[in-house]
Amino acid sequence: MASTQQIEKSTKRRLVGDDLRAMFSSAVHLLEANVEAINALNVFPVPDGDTGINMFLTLQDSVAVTRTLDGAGANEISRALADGALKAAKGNSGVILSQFFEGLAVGLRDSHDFGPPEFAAALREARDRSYKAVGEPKEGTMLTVVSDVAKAASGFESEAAEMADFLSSVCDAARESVALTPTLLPVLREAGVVDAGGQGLLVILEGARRYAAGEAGPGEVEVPDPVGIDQPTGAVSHEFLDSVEEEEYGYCTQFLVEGVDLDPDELRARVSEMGRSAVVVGNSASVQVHVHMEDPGPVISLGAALGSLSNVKVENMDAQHERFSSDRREEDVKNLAVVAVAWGDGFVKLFRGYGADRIVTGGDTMNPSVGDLLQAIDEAPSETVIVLPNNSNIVPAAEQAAGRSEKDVRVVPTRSIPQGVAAMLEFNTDLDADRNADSMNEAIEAVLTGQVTEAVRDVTMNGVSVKQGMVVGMLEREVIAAGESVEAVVRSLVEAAQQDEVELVTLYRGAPIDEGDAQQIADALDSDIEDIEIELVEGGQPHYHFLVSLE
Amino acid sequence: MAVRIVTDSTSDLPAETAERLGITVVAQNVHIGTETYKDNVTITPDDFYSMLASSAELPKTSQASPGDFKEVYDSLGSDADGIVSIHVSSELSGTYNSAVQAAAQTSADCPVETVDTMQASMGVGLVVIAAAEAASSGAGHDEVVSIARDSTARVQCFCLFETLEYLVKGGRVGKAQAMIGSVLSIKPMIIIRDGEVQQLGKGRTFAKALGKMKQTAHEFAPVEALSVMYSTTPETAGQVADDLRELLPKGAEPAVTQFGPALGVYTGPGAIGIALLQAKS
Repeated sequence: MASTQQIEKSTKRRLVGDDLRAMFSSAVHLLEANVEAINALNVFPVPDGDTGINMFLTLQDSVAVTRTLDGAGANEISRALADGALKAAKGNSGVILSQFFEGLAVGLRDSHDFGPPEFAAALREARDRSYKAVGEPKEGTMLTVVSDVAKAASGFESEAAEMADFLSSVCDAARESVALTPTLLPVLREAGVVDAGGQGLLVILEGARRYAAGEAGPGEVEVPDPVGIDQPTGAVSHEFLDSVEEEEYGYCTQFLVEGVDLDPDELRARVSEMGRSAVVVGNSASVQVHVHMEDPGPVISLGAALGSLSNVKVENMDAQHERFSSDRREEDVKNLAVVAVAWGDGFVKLFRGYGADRIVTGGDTMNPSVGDLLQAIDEAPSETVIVLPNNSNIVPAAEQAAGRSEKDVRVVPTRSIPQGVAAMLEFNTDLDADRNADSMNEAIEAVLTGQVTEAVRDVTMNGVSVKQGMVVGMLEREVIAAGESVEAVVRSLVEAAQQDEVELVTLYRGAPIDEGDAQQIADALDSDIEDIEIELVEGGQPHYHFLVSLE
Repeated sequence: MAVRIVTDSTSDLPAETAERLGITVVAQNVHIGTETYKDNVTITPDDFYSMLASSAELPKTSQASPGDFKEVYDSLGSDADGIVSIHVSSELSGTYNSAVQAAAQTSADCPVETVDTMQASMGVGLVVIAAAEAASSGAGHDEVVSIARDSTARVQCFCLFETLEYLVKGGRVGKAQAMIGSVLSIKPMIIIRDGEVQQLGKGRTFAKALGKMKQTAHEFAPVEALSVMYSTTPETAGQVADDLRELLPKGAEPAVTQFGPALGVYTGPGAIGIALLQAKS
């Protein structure tokens, strides 16, 4: 992993490629130590953000690419970081981070060595690229922090300052910017937290600063108090479990467990005993495990005993990262193929059943990377591919992958699984890609998406007060009902949709509710609510009792 | 003497239209259990659909034989300038093949021309009507053939099913295969393209699917002639016809007709179809 070589506070005005690499290696360690704290900044009462783990996985994999580049110039290192980040990018924040690195690479493309002027210019590029990565940029997010950082750095463009001082100013600007995010993004204000992605970026910059300042290794980076919040309940900073130690060898082991009544805290404790650098996050229905093991067997067996495993990834950290090559089935080349993102047995079968050629596993708490999507696109048996991201957080990664592929790719921006199903049903191989995309885009407009889940934290959203553990119902991501009874919440959801002339409600059952209970709820609603047909279908998704399609 | 028009019962031509325009309809065979019926002759559509619902075994169809057609051609040929025989898609049925064989063997003195419409139901029927109207207004054999072929290129036929079950069991699902085999309740829509059954779309409810059917009809406007077909729901078909009347030239009426047993085997109950003849561009 990263170099542990300690340096004295750099009084150098010029840094070289090895320094750049060490700055971000330091950032990997620091970010790893802050994954949980960043995850805990989720602003929605559903486990739908995993900003910390996504940024960490993205950064870790990007830095790993530079490991062999001893003595390379800053231009080469920054290019390798950017290329690595794009392949590794996970989730929205990972995608933005990859564009941050792309900006640095462009900014430093002519710099074998660099100082504050070059780095300031590179940050400006990073800002421009990051904004471009997002379809509808929102302020009060990581983007604002990048922007404020670039602005602060611009004061150094002509000044011969030391890098340590320069980065110190940059971090001050980032800290101030993060604290102000709730003043710009109402949802943060309501939840009483700062933006998770912004905090992630602050941690990365702080890691870089610590290297340049010659300060000792990782530790928690304080989350700035959110400005404009009277009594910040703030981010619940979980104590970081693991000391991050230098490792000589072993396997980086990652997987996802889906099950019932999982206890992430208990699992974390057990995994921490088994290996090093354990990062275990999740909830009762699904837990992501990341750990460094000399033998990955026991921890995988542990996971398998608790539930169903997916996204199992075991990498020899000492060896070159080798892409898992999936077994290519012999397939007829088609005129048009579909790649869909889905999570849960029911949805996978459903999308396959209606003609999807490749399924990329992913969803709310496990965003596939640009690399995952790109691989699926490239493997799909057609030169023309339609991608259904099926989650608003995955749309940017899908668009990145589309831009990167040499194939003719259309992303139909399905923001939810119900929208994805509606689009999939329009798929018609007799028609060309444009006509398919047109009718898919039209179809997704006709579907409302509902979600029924359990709140993982206290929050007031949309005027509805939600306590942790309550069942909460959302329509188009707006909280419209909360209570103790799943049936009552589903009923409120359906009734709220009645004014929209809904004729058919499809309840996709997820892991948190068993078949009998789900059937009972569907039957009760079907007999009580007139003029609306109720359909119960197996989704198999984690976290959500029901995903609901209203059309 | 005149040019005579022949078709098969897959055209679903209303009986009064056939009579008015002097069209000869050769019946297909329908087999239910061990019984064989002549489509629309020895079994009425309504009887057929009630037997379809109650029969444990799915009824089967078989095309009219070359002998059936030869008999018709021989008989008409004694008193005609020509015979134009217009049929269901050769991709879907062996009927056209029977007609071609019969035409080669007939003892009729006049020319006999066979036309493969690459269509089904009133997709065939509208071509037959166009040809028959030309023939009754005195067009010659070659002209009637040319009108039939020209109409074939402009005709569209699409259908909404309550279920794909019958089409699948009957082995006629063709390229619409992708619509089958999933957990959602969907109302499948098919269109006859290049002589084959292709997917038109899927509606999550019958009402929404019907909306899409009508929208599809609008996309083919302007139209010269239009027909709405049904298997068991004439009221729905009548409503659709009313809604689509505006697509026709002023004064023209949409036809409403029932899927006969030969196609009813595949559509099952509750199906609604639309056939239309696009105006010449």
